[in-house]
Amino acid sequence: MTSYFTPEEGDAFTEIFNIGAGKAALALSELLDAPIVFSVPFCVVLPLDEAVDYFRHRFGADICVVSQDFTGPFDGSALLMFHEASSLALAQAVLHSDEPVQAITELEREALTEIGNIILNACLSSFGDLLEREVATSLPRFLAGPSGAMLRGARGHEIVLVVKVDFSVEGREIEGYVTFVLNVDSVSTFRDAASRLLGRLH
Amino acid sequence: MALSGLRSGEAPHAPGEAIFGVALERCETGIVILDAQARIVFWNRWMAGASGVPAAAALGRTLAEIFPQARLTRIGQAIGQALRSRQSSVLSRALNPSILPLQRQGGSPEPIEHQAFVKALEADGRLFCLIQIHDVTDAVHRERFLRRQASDLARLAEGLAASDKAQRAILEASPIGIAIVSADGIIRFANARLASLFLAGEDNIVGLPTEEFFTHPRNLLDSITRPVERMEVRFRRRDDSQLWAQVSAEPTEFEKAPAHLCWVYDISDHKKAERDLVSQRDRATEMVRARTEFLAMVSHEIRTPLNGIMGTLRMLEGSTLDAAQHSHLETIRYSGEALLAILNDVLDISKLEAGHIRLERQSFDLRLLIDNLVLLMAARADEKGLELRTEVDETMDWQVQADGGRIRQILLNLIGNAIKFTQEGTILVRLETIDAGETRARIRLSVIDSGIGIPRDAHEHLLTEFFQVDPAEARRLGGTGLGLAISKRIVEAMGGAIGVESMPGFGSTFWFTLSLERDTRRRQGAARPAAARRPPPLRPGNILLVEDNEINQKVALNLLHRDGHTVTVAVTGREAVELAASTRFDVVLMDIQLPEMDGVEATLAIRALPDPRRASVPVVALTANAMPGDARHYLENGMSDVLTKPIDPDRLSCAIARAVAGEAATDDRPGTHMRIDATMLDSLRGTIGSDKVDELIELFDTTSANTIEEIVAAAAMGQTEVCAALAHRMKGGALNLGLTSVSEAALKIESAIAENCGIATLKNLIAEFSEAYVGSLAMLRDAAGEPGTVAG
Repeated sequence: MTSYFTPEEGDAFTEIFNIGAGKAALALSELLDAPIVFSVPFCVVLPLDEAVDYFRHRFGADICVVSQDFTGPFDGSALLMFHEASSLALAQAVLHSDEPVQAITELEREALTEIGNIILNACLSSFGDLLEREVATSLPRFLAGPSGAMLRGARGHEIVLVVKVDFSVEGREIEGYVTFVLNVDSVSTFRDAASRLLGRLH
Repeated sequence: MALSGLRSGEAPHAPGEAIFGVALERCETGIVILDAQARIVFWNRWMAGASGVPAAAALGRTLAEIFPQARLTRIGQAIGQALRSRQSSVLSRALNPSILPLQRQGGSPEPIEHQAFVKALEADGRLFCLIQIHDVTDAVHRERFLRRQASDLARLAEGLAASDKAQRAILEASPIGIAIVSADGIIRFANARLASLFLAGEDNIVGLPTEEFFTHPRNLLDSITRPVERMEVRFRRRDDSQLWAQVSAEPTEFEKAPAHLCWVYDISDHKKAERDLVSQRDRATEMVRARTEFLAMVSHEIRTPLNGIMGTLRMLEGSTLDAAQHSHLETIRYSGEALLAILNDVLDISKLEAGHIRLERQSFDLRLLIDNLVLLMAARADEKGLELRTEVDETMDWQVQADGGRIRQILLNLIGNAIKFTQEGTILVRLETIDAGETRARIRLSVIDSGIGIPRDAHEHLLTEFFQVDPAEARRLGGTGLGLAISKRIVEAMGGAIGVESMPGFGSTFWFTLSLERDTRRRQGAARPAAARRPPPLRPGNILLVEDNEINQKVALNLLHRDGHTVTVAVTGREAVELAASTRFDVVLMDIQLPEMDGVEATLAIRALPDPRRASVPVVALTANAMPGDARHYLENGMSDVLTKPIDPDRLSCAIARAVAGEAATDDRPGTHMRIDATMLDSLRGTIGSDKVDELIELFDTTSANTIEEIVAAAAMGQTEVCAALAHRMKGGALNLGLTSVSEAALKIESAIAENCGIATLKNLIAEFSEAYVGSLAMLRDAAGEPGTVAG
């Protein structure tokens, strides 16, 4: 968890995201009329270049991304990142398709965009709730391409908070990452959110 | 952007801003604006149309109030997020079957597929929520259509894949190798069978050049311009073993380039069977050839002593004898001649079997030949009180070109049989024309008897070797059982047919047909083969006898002196040539196997003498070489005539007469082999009785079979002394039964061992010995029933 955050703060972030994920899961389960479970096993903060390397190794080929910009107590971009195969599996699960989805077409794109939108909104609002501030979001975009380009193109551009998100949908286990690309100024606000949570716990 | 105070349908306060309101009102997208309490403050025309709710009815109410029936959870959440925390949401038709209950108005109402964007909007310090509704019905329809098509295509592809799989399975399971070979000789497709045929274990043959598998460095397919069917090709497998296959191929296309579709069927097993058969046949042929050569060799071995016996016999005939002695002499001579006849048969059949028969071509009068033959046989017929007569087509000119000796041999055999198997009545020899052309005539010769007849089921066996209808009867009457088989072979060699018609009790008709060349040049006075038996009156001549063997020399000298000839003797070929060069002889009698220079060489040397009178002296070959090619060989090498040993005095006289008269050679009748001494058997029979002799033969057979095995075993183990002892014992037994060739063969083994011969020689001798034994015993059994056998 590098020098930006203490291990305790890291744990706090993981917890915050778990709260957000729980909200998103609830919303999605309702929407899809099927149980969806998210879990956030860990999160990690990396400088942009290291994050680019991390995902290059992690995904190799092209990835699918749902991205939203956010403003408020901190500014930046939130990205939900999937390996292309995982995104296809997720689309198949949520669309109740009998046949494997071979490619991202308009329908899958729309479904994935909405799911990403729900998850990212939920995660960001859980920070907002803690800070008792609004975290405004833009409409989500669906992008496909190399992970490095996605990260570098994101708003914020300096520090990347990487949150591993595991989905369990319709008996499928799908791996994804929520990343927040922040500027350095946003770090203290994040830390504030973490200490508020810790303070509430202690 | 100041939206406060806007009312649907109202003109804006300022013309600059008014246009925005009109635009929102009229745009082809649903626009809804909610205030902070989620009450509708703007509801454009599109929304009114799609929802059926006019702006007037919508304004100031919440969505839930407008659509009380609808489930608005998702859009409600989105609105909440926007108004509470300014989060934006996208609501897709993919996850939301219906965001709002909207329908396309018109003829038939149709649900509007739509998506929604929900976001917070701030103006004049107040918070609003903007909802945009996009109609994506057309896009959804288009996509559904495309998806259906894609799904149909996928199913089709799956079906194709399944059928491809089935076809592939059939190809793979095929016992025939299948390949597609492109024009450059590379295998582009192959089934598993093809790979297993060529690669022996490996499995990837695709991509390899076919050249690798050809035994010759060429591409078979180069030459294929038309379909090939079942061409037999030898291939080399990857492990260098050989593959014989039947290949069919036809031009095809593979990946849009010319190629060949090939079927390869493994026929290695068939080929192997074929090769085995061929090699079996070759072995069999080789065995026949070996036997023939063996017989020729035995013939040579037997002829020399027989020459001595028969010659000495002739001399004895001229001396003073009492009645009993004369009778014994007759028996010996008769037996000797019978022995010759048997040997003739045996040698003949073996030559015929080996396909060595050579037909001579002479011009002769067939009718005269028959007349002479009947004259000859009449004496024997007379003895049995039978009438022998001829019936000849008188309208024909019977001068023909053929092998008269062979025709005579067949007739002699058929007439002899007829006399033998007929007790009373008539034997008729009939010569008929079937059809006669200018140059050829088809004729049929029949010998019709009134004898015992032959059962029908025996007819087909009658013409095979050693077959006798009733072995007991045959023993009583004598004969080897070879005569008819020999006749059949000769007739067939002449391109004719032979057959028998007979019924027991009603006599038999043996017939043969031949197609003969007619000699239209001139008629000759007499047919020599028949006339040759009677020696013409002879004027004494000056004769050079070339013979190294003392006994043969003595026999010949006596015969020649008896006829009053003057004889000079030479013992080597060289000596003969020297004498012939210096002295004028009427005839030279030339042995073939001579020291220093053999008979043939000597003859050629004589023919090359400078004095033409000396060089043209008639040279008559005296030979024990009875093989069919021999006589021709001698005649081709300058000899005038050929006499086979043992020397028949009458034939010798005839030959000398012919030679002196300058006639061409006619007598090349090959000699025969002799294996058994019938006189010995006869005298034994006289002493101890026929039954005892038969018993002795069986006993000899039983014990000797063991002895031969022991000899072979002893030789194999190198126990030469045991071998010699056994051979010695065998020799004694064989002599007692008159098995001359067996005892001689045994003697050879004994002497060879005494001279420390090698094991290879010994083995050859043992093989010779076994052969002599088997052959002799077969003959012995034939001859056991009756004294004095005569060729059948």
